[in-house]
Amino acid sequence: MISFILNDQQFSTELPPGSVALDLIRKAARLTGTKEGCREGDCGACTVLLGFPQQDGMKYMAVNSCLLPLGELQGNHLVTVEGLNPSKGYSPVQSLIVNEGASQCGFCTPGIVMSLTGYLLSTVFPTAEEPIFLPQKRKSCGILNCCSFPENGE
Amino acid sequence: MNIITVKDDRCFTGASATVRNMMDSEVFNCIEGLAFRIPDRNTRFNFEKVSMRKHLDIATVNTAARFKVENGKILEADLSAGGVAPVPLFLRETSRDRVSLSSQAHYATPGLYFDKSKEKGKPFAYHVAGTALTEVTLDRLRGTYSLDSVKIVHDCGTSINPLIDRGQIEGGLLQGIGWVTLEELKYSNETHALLSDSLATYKIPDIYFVPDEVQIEFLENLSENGGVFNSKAVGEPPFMYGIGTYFALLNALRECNPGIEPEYSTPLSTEKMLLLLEQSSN
Ligand code: FES
Repeated sequence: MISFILNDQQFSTELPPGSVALDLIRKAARLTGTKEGCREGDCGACTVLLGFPQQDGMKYMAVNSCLLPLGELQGNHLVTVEGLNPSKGYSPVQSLIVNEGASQCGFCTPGIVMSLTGYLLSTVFPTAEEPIFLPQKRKSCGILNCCSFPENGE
Repeated sequence: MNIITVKDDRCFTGASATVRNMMDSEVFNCIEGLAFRIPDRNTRFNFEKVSMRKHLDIATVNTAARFKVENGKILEADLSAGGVAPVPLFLRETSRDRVSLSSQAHYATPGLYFDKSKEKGKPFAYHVAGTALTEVTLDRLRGTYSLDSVKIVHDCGTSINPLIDRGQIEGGLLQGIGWVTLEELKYSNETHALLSDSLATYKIPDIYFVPDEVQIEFLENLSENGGVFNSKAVGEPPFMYGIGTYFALLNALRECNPGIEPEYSTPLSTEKMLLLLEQSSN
């Protein structure tokens, strides 16, 4: 039995610890905001946040849920795009994406939102030398073929 | 996911109640079977399905009866009847505000014709024009390069949404550059299987591949063109601006060796460029 917090709810599953978190999110939990693209960790459409309890609070990072075994979730906090704004409205990252027109067809946008949110939660505030698009380097959503790209640093 | 078998006592509660029963639990259920008790010898039953529809096999009325009979006496009787009927729903607010709940449109571009026998006519209302100026810097030792700037003037007619159109032009440019520089289909010589069959081996541009500077201007061209609101296509045409990168790289190679005769094939990958540069030093 694996237990963790999924967005704002306690969640337990009997699925084997080696099964893929993306499948649990989309099938068992029916949270279809997280998308399946390549299913091999390259495209980032499936990016979610994984939070670990630390002595001084929670630490969050963006991870590819298609490569994430369920066992990793035990006792941790899994945040999908649905969990970013449980009440109405947009998160700051989402508002920026809307205002800057950085979403075109939108399929990969949840992944980009989660990557940027993870970046902002896990790093000091971005500067011109270390601008916001760095999460791509950390193997999160980085592939854009159809989309416009956010302006450097915005 | 839960695999469940639905027993008869959970089924005969009406369609919506049955579905609710099965979907109720937190986990997503998958029905693998339906189970029924076999009636004993003394039980008689009948099922009647009445359908007025000609081609659609959904009954308008279903009736079922079951009797338990012993020595000519009816001991138990179950009767059930059910029908399918739409439940009219009154939409108070849309009705009050008189909002139409449907809309439909079709645009037929005016003045198009084509005579196949003569191969003459006017099959397109307009053409999309544009231009891109591309600057690259080539490392003549390694065959690597940087994309310094791309400046584009694109003709979208009257842009319906400049923010979206700009995004389409940026995306088209990047996809085009990817096609002419990175994206290579490689097949095995023995099995002919596709080797670059995943994003790990078939590289497409990421955000680090974006040229340092991308400038986009819309062509001010407000002549009538026959498009919707005088707009023009913006999805695919900007793809062509990527070709500028191919020729910019080729020019840079020629700068190093005026004599090279590259075969015209894309993608012009760093490997190919390195080989061309090597060829030049011999
Ligand atoms: S689906 Fe592409 S990285 Fe997970």
